[in-house]
Amino acid sequence: MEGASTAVTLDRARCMGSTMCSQIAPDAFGIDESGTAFVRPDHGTSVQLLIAAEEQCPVNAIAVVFDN
Amino acid sequence: MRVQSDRMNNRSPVLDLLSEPFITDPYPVLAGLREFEPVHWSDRWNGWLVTGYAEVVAALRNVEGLSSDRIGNYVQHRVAGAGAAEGSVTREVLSKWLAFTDPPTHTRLRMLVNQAFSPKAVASLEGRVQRICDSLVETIRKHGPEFDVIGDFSYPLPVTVISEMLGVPVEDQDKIKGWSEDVMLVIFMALENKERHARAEDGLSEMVEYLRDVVERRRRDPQSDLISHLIKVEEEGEALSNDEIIATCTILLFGGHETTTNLIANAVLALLQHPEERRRLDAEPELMPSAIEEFLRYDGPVRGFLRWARIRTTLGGKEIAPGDRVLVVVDAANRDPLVFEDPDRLDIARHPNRHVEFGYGIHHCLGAPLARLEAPIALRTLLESFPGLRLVDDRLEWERTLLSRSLARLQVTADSA
Repeated sequence: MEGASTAVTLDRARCMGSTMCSQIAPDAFGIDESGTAFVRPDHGTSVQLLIAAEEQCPVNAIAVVFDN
Repeated sequence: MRVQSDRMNNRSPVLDLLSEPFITDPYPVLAGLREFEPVHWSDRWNGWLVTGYAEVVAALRNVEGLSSDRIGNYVQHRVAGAGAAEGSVTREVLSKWLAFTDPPTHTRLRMLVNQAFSPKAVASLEGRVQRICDSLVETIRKHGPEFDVIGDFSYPLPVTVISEMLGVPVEDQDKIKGWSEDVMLVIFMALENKERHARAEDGLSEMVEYLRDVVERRRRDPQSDLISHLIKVEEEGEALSNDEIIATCTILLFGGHETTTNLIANAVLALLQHPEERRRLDAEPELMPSAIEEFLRYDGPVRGFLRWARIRTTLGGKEIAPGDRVLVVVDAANRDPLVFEDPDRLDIARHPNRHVEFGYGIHHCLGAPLARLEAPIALRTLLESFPGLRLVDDRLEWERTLLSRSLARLQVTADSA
């Protein structure tokens, strides 16, 4: 699977809807009806963009996890 | 002409938001209001008061319906009569403030500064924050045992941090303090009068002139500070104007002056008034992060945010008409019993604690990660340095402003006698 060595997690209990992630990496992150961010399946987004979203999240809700 | 909106003419509580009892202890009144009507039209304030948690979140998320462009509306509706000329400095600068812009301007400005305030970026300031706290404590020890938590500690800390981040000479802090206080009266909506608006206008003009000079110097001689970074972004053509750089510097300076100060001061007060929670924090220092969240929720530095209805919109079942102003009372939402168990109790281990003290949605506080870095270090340093800390005077003087929860001073003594 493409990009299988990188996973991204989002702690929805922490999310305060700043939408930074969905602006930085719209293919990887969406905002649901409650205003909370979620990770889109099979987004194929580059690791660089995922890390940018992780770093810019004001509430530390995003974590990029490297398998190896 | 105004479009008729869904204002109930009922036995609504007569509420003077700047009255002394309300300023001193707003929570019982807000609880009554929230129970009565979580979205309520106030004739007295001439606007909507939103006090329920769900309604507050809905209001803050409704970017299309409820504008943050307070200044355009504000100047139009209120200051014009007080003689603020078209194109005044206040209007020009404040209209570019992140907090008072809507998308797409907000999105563009926010992305440019967000990185500098991310949790990872501010983590590198930890050592510096600790050193500033230590040096403030040292000064207090020399003059003690009585001191003012605000003037001697919680004010100079965030001011020094933000000045250093931006690259504003620390020796100019007093000047900035004076200007910031002038502007604050208008931003946090203290009692309105012509003199204050004139002072705010003067203060902001001087601040802008001062910052123009700093920006020019950095342009010639870039440093590793935030002003230099913004200049670099501008020069790389990322559509950031010189005026926007200046405006962004003013909001960051201003933001770094008032809210963190009051967060720390209100936290100290809450602990001094709840000795059992203080003992608990002493015994379990690992509770500090959740304690900070609880101080934000319980009696945080911000009472509310202001919005203006841009279009006809619905909130909590009420029809809000275009042009109506809306006060989003986070103070009230943070004590909503539908969300927080036993909401009037200070519980430093509270979990979960999804308070909205930093707002919600696209305007969620840019400086939140910095506040969350500074406040625990400040509080721990103060409590460890002065284990006998206690209030000198139970009479507390709260500033009469609509949007901030700030003490004029917090006089304490380090002497436990």
